[in-house]
Amino acid sequence: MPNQENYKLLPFKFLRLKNKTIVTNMGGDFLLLPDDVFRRFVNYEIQQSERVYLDLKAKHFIYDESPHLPIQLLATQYRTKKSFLRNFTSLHMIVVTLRCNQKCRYCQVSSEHADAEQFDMTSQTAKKCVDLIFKTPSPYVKIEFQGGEPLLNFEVIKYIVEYAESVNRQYNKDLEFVICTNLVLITDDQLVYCKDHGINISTSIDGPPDVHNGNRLTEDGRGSYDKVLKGLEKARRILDFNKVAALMATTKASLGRFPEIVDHYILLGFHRIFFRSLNPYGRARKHQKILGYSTDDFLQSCCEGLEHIIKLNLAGTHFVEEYSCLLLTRMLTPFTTGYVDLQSPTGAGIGGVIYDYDGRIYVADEGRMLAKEGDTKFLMGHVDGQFEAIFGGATVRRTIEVSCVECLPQCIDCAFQMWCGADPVRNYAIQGDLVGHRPTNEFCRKNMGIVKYWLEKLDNADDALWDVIWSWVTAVPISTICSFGMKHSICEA
Amino acid sequence: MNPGNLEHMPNGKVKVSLDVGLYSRDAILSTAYRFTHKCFINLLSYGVEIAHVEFSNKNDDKSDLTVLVNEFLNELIDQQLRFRINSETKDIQRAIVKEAFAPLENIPGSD
Repeated sequence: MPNQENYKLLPFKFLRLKNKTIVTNMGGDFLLLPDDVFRRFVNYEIQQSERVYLDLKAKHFIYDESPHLPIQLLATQYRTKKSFLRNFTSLHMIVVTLRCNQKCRYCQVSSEHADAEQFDMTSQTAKKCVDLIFKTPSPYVKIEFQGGEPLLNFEVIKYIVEYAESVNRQYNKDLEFVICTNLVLITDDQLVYCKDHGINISTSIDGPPDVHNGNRLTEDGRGSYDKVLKGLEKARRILDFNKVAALMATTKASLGRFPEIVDHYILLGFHRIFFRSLNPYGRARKHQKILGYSTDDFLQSCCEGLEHIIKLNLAGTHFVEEYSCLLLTRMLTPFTTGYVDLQSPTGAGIGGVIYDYDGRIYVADEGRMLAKEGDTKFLMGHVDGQFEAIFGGATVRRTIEVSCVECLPQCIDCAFQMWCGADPVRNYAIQGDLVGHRPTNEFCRKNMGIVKYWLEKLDNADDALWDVIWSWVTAVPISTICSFGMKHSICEA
Repeated sequence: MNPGNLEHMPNGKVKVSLDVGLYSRDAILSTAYRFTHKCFINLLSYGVEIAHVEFSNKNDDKSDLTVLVNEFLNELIDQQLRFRINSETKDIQRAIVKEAFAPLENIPGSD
């Protein structure tokens, strides 16, 4: 047994990287230690006179007197990292119609023809959705309209917005609306309505015209790029410029072209991009041979894109990759982020929930897709039911119970545990059970790859790169950032 | 067979004997889980002194298992270290979680 006279260990995880070993603790703090320092650390050979001793003590990896204070401090950090649980449930996605004017190749939802009005949500069902939503204890409520193409049932969107505003006079929650639309059909009147009610727009742009048009087609089989751009211009003219956000999905055609896609986003006036891999559901699964790729291929493209974005930032263009920003925020600050896929327990059902057009409620959109194929495992209930029975019911409990990375196989020992999350719906859909098999889990592989990319960057970052990273994490312009000294807080020479 | 030795079987399988004084059953199982996508692993026995683990290729793969088994042995060292750290720190870990969620103790229905 090693000599524990110098100090005692506090709980931590470790992982061997290329040249160093990362140690992380329950507060989300980490240090990158040379392998020899790590060996001496776990064998109680670090001397009090060494600088690394103070770093290990300050970051709560060791203690040398009573453990009382580090327990208190780590508990506070841990509680802060889990504070997303207070927003139970904040994201409410409402499918106001299954009808769609597009036939996108990778669509994960089962859309219906644009004139199939029997797949519209009725105002009666919409009212019940809103009544249920406001029973959530979360002080923050985001209602996101999805489809199909939600603009095809704009009357019900208006009904929900106005009824929710009216109900909120009693509850006084922080209420936000987003319409997820392809922008092809959007009218001036609809945009004026959005402006009057503070509704944000989220759209899809996959990149330059040839990339976008290869994926996103109108019902007549033509690419939708030109129409989307007209809608984008109109939306920005009527709404505030920053009220319109865009998302991209990666298909085989995007691989190797991430820098070009980034440049295209900048050309269109965006300051952010989210490198999103394809979800293997619905048509995306059907068209896997044409659209699909390996996780390693995605990671390679992702790294190329990130290298390009870093260069742009260093040259003075503020541009953020959002998934990296989420991870870096978790890694470098005490705070949590609200991304459902990176939560433990999962955000499915307790962070976000989706109401189908017919009033059925699912823990996640992927659960809704499985139900279309006859598997209702993730059906929480119906808007006719009681809040407690739906949000505290067997489906939510079963989903949550198997979604804590703190006790999942392999995750239990993972050094990236505090920055990651579990996705039981995806595990079930792809690997056949809620827990999943970590050695073959592509979500795990992707996340590990991106975190390792950033750890290597942080280990070698100069002050200029630290300024870029810190400007992303704090959402402060790089001109006012001075992060000198950050490197020395995590990397031991 | 001495602990740590690799024994190449006539059927292409590789058998390894491990000193249970060095490696716990949980460390061996946890390491095995991490290799289940690469080969078939069979924990044959966990005795008083020695544990026997057998490795075999999946499907028609005829590749030499020696490198894979040595990777397993390296990973086993780290897994055993993880178990040692967990064992030394588990009481504090429990205390941290309990303290973190202590404010919930007085909420009705929170047990």
